[in-house]
Amino acid sequence: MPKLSLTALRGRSSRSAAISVLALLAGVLFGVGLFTFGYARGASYLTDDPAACVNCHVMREEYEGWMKASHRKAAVCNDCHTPSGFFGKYSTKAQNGFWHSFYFTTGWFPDHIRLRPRNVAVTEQACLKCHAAITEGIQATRRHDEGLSCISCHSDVGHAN
Amino acid sequence: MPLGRGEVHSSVKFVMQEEPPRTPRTQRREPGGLSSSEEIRLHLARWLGPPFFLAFLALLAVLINLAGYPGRVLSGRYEVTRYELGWETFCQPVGKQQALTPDLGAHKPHPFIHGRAATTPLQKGISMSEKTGSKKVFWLVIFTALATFSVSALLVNIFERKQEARQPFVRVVELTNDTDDPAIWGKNFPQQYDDYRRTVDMVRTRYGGSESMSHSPTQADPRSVISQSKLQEDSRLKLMWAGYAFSIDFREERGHAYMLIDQRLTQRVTEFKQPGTCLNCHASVTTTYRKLGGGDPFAGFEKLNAMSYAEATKLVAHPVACIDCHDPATMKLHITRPAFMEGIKAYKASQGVANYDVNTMASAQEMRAFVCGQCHVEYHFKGPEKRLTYPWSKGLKVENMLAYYDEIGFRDWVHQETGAPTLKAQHPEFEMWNQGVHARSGVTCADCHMPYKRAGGLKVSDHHVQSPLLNINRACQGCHHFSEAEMKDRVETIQSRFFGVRNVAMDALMDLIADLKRAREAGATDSELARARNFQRKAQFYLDLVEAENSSGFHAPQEALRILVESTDFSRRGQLALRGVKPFEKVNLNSHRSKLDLQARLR
Repeated sequence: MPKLSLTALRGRSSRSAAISVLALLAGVLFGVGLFTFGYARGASYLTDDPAACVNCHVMREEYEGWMKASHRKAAVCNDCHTPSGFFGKYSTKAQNGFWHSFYFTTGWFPDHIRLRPRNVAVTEQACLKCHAAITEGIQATRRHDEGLSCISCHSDVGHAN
Repeated sequence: MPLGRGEVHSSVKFVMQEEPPRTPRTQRREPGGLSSSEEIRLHLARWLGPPFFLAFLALLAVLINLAGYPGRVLSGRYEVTRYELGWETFCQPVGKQQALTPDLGAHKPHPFIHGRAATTPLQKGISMSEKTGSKKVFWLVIFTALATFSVSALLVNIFERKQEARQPFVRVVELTNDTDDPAIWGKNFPQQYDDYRRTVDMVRTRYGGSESMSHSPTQADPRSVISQSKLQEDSRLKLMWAGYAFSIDFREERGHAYMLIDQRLTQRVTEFKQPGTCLNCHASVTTTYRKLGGGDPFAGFEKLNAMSYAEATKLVAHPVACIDCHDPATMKLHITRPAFMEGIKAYKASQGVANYDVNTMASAQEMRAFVCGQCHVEYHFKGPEKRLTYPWSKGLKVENMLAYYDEIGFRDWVHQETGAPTLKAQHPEFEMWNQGVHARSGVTCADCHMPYKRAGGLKVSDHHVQSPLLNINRACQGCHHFSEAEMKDRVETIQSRFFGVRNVAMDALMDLIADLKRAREAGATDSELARARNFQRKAQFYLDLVEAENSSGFHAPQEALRILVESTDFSRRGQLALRGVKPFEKVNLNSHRSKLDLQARLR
């Protein structure tokens, strides 16, 4: 047994007070964090519901455009803007989700927002995935790196904006 | 002698202007660079983003790592535990760690790798570990507090974003038909007012915009900043306008904020007697009309025109302001300038629409061009009463306007060198836009010069009226899905082609003026010179129209080049006329192409 001096005892009690404060703070952090997650409808981002994409008003035009566009009956946001497969889908959601929240929080984004090259590729793959029967013939006569892009002509099938 | 307007870049630093005194934020942009404030922020975000993200991840890792502590802390055993990847290895000085752990062995298992660690009592006694323990608690509190702080900040931010989306509008003051001060309107519409004030920015684009030049203030001209002289950029302009006030002082146009001060202080006004008519478009006169006319704006308009400039300028206080375009009760766009009401009525009559009343018959989208067309148009001062009149009764094309002037026998001045009765064209942006593809597509002035921007959840027109080249993302990329660099390049290609042809036309006019001057000095009579003088009048008006037009050909690229080609043709025909050569004019109607050609000429 180590020897316990009076100062050591006092130290121990002030330490347990500090520990209580710490526990309280950790609880506050957890509570505020949980509330923030709920308030920001964090769980909705794990779903395929297009309404999740208009949680923040930046996507309002795109959402409204999709409501009126031809693809509304065939595809939701995630069908075209995330790759297929669990890992691809959620890693893309995580990446874009991080940047969306970063830019929307800071307000440092150009408006009209524009797709980054990686996301253009994702969308392009989505076209080819569903329209394989039509696009096979085109792809047979063109090398895939020739830069032929579905959306350079069919830019408004998903949403006009 | 191509005088590259675009190549002149002054390095003079922009100094704040005393009048107008409000300068919320000004920035200088490199002419070819991409550094609007948004882009700077974007670059910042690009650079700061990843570190933020990493810091966020590191904080998360630390917090998770710490999460294991309280239990051990409470059991009083934490101080003797050391994990090889644990928090304290990062925090403690190396010497201290060694002193703390003299006999712990080489490695302790990490709780995330090997499950919860077995704790080992420290042999050295408790006093040392108490000290490190309270230090740890201190740091833990700091970090938990910081994390809570950040999460709360994020929460508030989310809250604010959600509030913004509800589009709040707070009416602070009552606006009436007599409220001319934009600052009062700004209380209700702070976002729009803030943008409106930014028209003080002086930024040049490759072929346009304005560049700030420092100026030593004098008693007569207290401005410390002015824009560069166009007459110095291209001295041919002096000869083109010889005998007219524009050949004395003509500077690059600046933003809306400067319209009044720059007019009051130009030598065209200080050294020549000008009518009050000028103020129809260089000041906010909507309330002035009503005051002068005892409530009747048309009567006020006529009174203002009849006054001298010196007299009339005392009655105005602001550059173009909110009330000039907006109805104070509904905020709908409205037309306040009688000259535009009359002009557009005459134009519509020529198109077969009788009794056109712009304020009740124009669509909301048309209004987004018409409010600008109140002033950005070709005009003349009609008759001795100097009534502001737009020459549109035959149409909006250059030949229609010239035909109107020919019909009423109007001239702005007699050319000093040649004696030709010449016309000065002025800023016909509205007419030129009407000839272009954007107008045909229903895209108006405001769509590109005041594009929508987001202020929180609000969508507002950017009242910082400026060149779309300084705001390509918002101005162009809503419709054109190409990169900003590509869009800029497209515009500058159009403008540089225009500028080249403009120089050809300018040289041709200089040749005609020189020939006319020589013939006049050699004693040619007025009747001998009449034909060539008329060609000068035409060539001058055509060239001046696109030169004075502030888009360097962009508003209607093909039309601008057509006008320049015809101007060049007029100049050369004038020279031929002086030499007694009759140019080929007969159109061969036998071929289909010639018929088409004739139709095109007659249209």
